[in-house]
Amino acid sequence: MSATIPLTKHEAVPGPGEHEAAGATEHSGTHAGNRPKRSSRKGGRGGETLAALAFLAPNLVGFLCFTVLPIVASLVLSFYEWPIIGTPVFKGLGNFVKLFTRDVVFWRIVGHTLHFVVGYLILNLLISIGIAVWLTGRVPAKGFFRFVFFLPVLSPMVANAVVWRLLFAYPDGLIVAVFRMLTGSPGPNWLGSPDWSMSALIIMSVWAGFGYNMIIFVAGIEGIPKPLYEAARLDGAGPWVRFRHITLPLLTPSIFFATVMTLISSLQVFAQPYILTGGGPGSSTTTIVYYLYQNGFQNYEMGYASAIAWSLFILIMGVTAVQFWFQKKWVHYE
Amino acid sequence: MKISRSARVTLGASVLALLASSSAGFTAPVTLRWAMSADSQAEIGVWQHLADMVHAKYPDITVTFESTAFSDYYNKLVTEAAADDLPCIAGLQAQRIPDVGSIFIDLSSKLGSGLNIGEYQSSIVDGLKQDGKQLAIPYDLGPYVVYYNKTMFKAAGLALPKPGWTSEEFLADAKKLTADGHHGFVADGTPDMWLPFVLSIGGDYMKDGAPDLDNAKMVQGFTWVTDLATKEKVAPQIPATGASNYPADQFRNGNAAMYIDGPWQLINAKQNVKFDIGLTTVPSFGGKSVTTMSGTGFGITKSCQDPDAAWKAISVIVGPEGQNYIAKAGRGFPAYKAAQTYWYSVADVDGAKGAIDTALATVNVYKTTPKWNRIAALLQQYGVEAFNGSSSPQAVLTEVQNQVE
Repeated sequence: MSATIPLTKHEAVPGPGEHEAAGATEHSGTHAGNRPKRSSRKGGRGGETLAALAFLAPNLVGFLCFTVLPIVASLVLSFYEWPIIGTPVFKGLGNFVKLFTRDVVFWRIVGHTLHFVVGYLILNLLISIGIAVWLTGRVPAKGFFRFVFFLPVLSPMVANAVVWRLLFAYPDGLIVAVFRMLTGSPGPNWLGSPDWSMSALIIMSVWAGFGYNMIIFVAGIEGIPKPLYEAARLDGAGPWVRFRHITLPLLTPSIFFATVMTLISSLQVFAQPYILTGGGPGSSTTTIVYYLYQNGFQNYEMGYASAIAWSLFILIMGVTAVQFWFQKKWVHYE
Repeated sequence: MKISRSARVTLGASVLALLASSSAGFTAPVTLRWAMSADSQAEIGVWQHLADMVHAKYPDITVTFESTAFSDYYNKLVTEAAADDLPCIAGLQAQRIPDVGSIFIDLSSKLGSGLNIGEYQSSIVDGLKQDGKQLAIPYDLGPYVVYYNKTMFKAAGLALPKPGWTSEEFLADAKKLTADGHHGFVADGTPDMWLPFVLSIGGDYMKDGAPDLDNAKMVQGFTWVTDLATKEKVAPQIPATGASNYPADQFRNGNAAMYIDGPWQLINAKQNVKFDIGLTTVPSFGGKSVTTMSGTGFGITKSCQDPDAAWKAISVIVGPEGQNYIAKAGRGFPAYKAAQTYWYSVADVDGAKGAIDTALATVNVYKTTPKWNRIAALLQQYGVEAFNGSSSPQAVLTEVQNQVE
């Protein structure tokens, strides 16, 4: 903070980390001769700006080289037919026109992605809120349960997907065995049927991801003032009424945050179809980012892949903007 | 200090002699980058050993080996091509030539020196050509053959299948082997697994150099294979998976008695299974059995600064000694014919020689179209529906054809 308010700080005793800047100020003041104070301010501002830039530089250079530049480059690429080997040809909006009007699978894949997003978002929120409410009540070994439910978030998605591939195996996986034990029939061929593969993907993703939102909701619920619950209890409110009229409204900022973040990450889902199903059977689990990968790294059509990436970016931006606009109607910041 | 005239003359003559010798025989040390896929430390060790063999024979050439996992190898290669940072020597699989052949130079003019191309299996030598240009010298090859679980065959009281067996015999055996949750055969939509059935009934997957996936013979051959799962029930339903070789896993864990793969898998497979393995040909239809094949070689990339040194290195890497070493290490079935006998003795698998020799006699060199990689991935992805009966084989082939047109 001190680096951002140099003028008010100069005549005070330098705070931690300010000694060097203050020393530099005195030094430049000496050189300026008769007006040390003013010069010291000028020199200080420049010096501190330089110092700030120096501290920021590693991050800034990385951000420019590895984030801004590739983003701009991908925008440029999206206007070209850009084979990795060979000469790029400028296509204008050709890639976008092909994607939206002539691509035989793109809209199907958008549909599959939205299927995943809706299923994953709803299940994730319901389960994470449910478990957060449970874990903020009178439960023994709360810390242990929080740790257990959060554990899948920490394990790599690739490892999760490989394990779930074994669990979903047909006809000798654990899930099929449980179905057989409970119902006498093996149940669906999760990864072999286009009707069930997306459900398998959603179940696995929810298992792997709900712990993150659960932690957010636990923190949100614990931040709700206890007297509200006590007053409600005195008025005869039962658990459902307390949840419906106290917990839920006061949790809406957390729910809003979790919804925005979950929606963005689920629109970008890639590792699960890549490892678990390879996008199949058919296109049933091919998502937009997996399709992007296929075009970029199986077809080597970087321009087309970039056009898909920018279409996804615009979709995510639009959905997020709508969420921010809509939040005024349901989020309570009190 | 005064130097005598005679000493000056001697010194001058020595310098001249030194200069002359350097231009005539002495060459500056050169370091060459060599890229090849490797999926295990053992494989890296094999390639590194070959790189060391180059240096031992030509002390002025040092080959630095760069490995990449197979699944990313070609992605990395084309990315390096785009960045003009290609290694001098690179591995090239025959089926990738339409996609990456353009980054390799023609080796035809170099073939006379260092090695005799006539001593290599002609099918894969041809497979590594594009428009008459020899883009790489093969180090291994392999016709796709049927792997069978000898232990399961014996337990079912069946005679071991012989090269040249018929589709009727295959089906009868598969039925008998299907019991107690085990299946007689396993395949998925990967074209390598079922194209031999199409070729054996006289079909083709290309027309005028372009993919022709849903012609009548393709549909007939693919249907014959998917029927094994959907109608005959001698093959399992398969999952959609990101894993590369599901059928191989099913064979190795004893769930299926037969599957189709290349001989490069043999020594690895042998070490990882608890039963005896046998090899035989893909069953014949009307007396005809035609299989596909694959193989890989090494070529020189267009950005190589010293192609002559690179050629010397390649002539050692795929030379007789190198090929004997490859056979001994079990890395692949060598393309150098004299080393193949050695491989058979190392592999020590019943029927391997008969199956491979018979298959090679009628093999289709498996030419591919650009983006074959994509076609193979789509066939695996969409093929699941045909094997599970949720879509017809024809619909699957038409869907993939529409996507690659």
